[in-house]
Amino acid sequence: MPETSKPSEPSEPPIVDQISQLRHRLRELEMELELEQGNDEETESVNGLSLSEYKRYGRHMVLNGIGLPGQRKLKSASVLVIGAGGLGCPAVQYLTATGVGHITIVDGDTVEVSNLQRQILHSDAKIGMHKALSIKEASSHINPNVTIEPVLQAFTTQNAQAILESSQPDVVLDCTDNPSTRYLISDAVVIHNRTSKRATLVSAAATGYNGQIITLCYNDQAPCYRCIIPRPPPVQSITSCADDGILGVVTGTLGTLQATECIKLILGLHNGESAMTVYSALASTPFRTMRMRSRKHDCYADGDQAFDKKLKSVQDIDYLAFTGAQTCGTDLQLSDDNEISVEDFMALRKASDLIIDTRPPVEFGICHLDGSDNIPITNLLKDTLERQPDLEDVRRTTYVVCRRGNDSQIATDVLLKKKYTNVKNVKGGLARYSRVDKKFPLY
Amino acid sequence: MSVTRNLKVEFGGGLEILFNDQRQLKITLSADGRNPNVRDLIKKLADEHIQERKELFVEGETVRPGILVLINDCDWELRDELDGELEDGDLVVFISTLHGG
Repeated sequence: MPETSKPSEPSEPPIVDQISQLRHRLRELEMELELEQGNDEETESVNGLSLSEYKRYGRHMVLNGIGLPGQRKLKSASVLVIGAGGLGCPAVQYLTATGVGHITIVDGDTVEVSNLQRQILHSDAKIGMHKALSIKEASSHINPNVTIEPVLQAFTTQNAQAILESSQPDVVLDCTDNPSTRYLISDAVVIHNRTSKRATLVSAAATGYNGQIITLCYNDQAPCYRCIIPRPPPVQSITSCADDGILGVVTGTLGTLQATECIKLILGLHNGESAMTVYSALASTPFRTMRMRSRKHDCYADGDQAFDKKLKSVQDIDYLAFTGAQTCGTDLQLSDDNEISVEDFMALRKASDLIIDTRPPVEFGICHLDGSDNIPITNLLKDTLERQPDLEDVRRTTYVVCRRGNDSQIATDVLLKKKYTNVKNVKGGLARYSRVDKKFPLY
Repeated sequence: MSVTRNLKVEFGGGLEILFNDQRQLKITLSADGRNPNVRDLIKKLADEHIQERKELFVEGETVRPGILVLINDCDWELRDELDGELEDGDLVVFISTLHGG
């Protein structure tokens, strides 16, 4: 029966309505109370922490070695995080949650979709946003008590000392992705420590299934990055996440370890020994920690030599030239006869032509051109002098492709030496191809 | 008289690719009239165990820049680097430094 036609009760509304009204009033009162208490908790400070902070951090404040003094150290600490990517995201996530008071994040990049499988503070909706701003926003949802200072620039020789000067960090986390910046950060920290409050450097890196972390510059006898790796590795040995892949949880593990080192350092729980921890996700013993050398007495940055013989300013060094990074990308200067644009390749290729794809088999399996053969560059190089192709092959028109058009130049060169007469490197590789053929996957 | 040492060798940071994707090797190393050292080990690995791109492992008689050498979990600088003598059962780890992130 519809309610309207019910005979009206003059005295009391139906019991169901009464309950509903009471519930509503109860909720209102609860919210009022929450608001009152909440305000109190936010504003009422006891020994340097608000009441809500005692609740928030209680689970780790009860640990031996932390307590109230430890939490106050964390709250007054300053941490400089350079790189807001695969390492920086998990590091900042935990530092924020733990209540590290001031975090400066330096990164000039914006969020791309290919970052999201590992850079876990960014998200789909933030594609195109500055990474440092994206982290600031994500952190504010985790813990509003933490001050995040985003710097929307890359860390360079021009701004390095100024950023260290203004943030006065207790700890610097190197969360970058290339050797040039790693040397720059270490040198800048060594120079900064000559005149300012000491900053300890925690440097981590990850590629593929592997990661490494080392804590540097924590006292006068501790090594810097240059002490450990005095000369940069050759360019051809350097791998990047873009080219060689990275499993998201591996950067997650290393970034989390960086946050752990950072918290230990702030709390004074670090044992003050140089050790490097190496993580190999696929190894039977995935973690290994090794005792490393102390400061090198002949190190160019923090050695014992007279002041005028050692590094004075990061602006005196061309870090890209030092690590050979400016020679990145291959240009073998093949003749015009042996190069072809993607557009011409698409227009001219015939069914009888040979297409050699020099990528590793796993990448060939992700996507490849119909009718192409997979001969990985490593196999081609191995075969250089061993096997000669048959005559029919060497006369066919042969196109060589790879992911970005670097390895395919080397392969073209190898094939020419093997007496192939008509070989063409497809310039820009499959990355370029996918911009013309919109249905071809770009990974 | 030759002195022989049985060693365990491990590779990390992607160096295993140069050694046919083997992460661990058992190596028997000998030297005439003296104890075998790390220099001997690097030479043996380069001569007998790498098929291609040796330059990604060695430079002259030592490892290329960016490879860390650890003997029984200690930086080799704490044990005389190339001249460090090896004992039976020593674990020598070669690790390529990484830069991604």
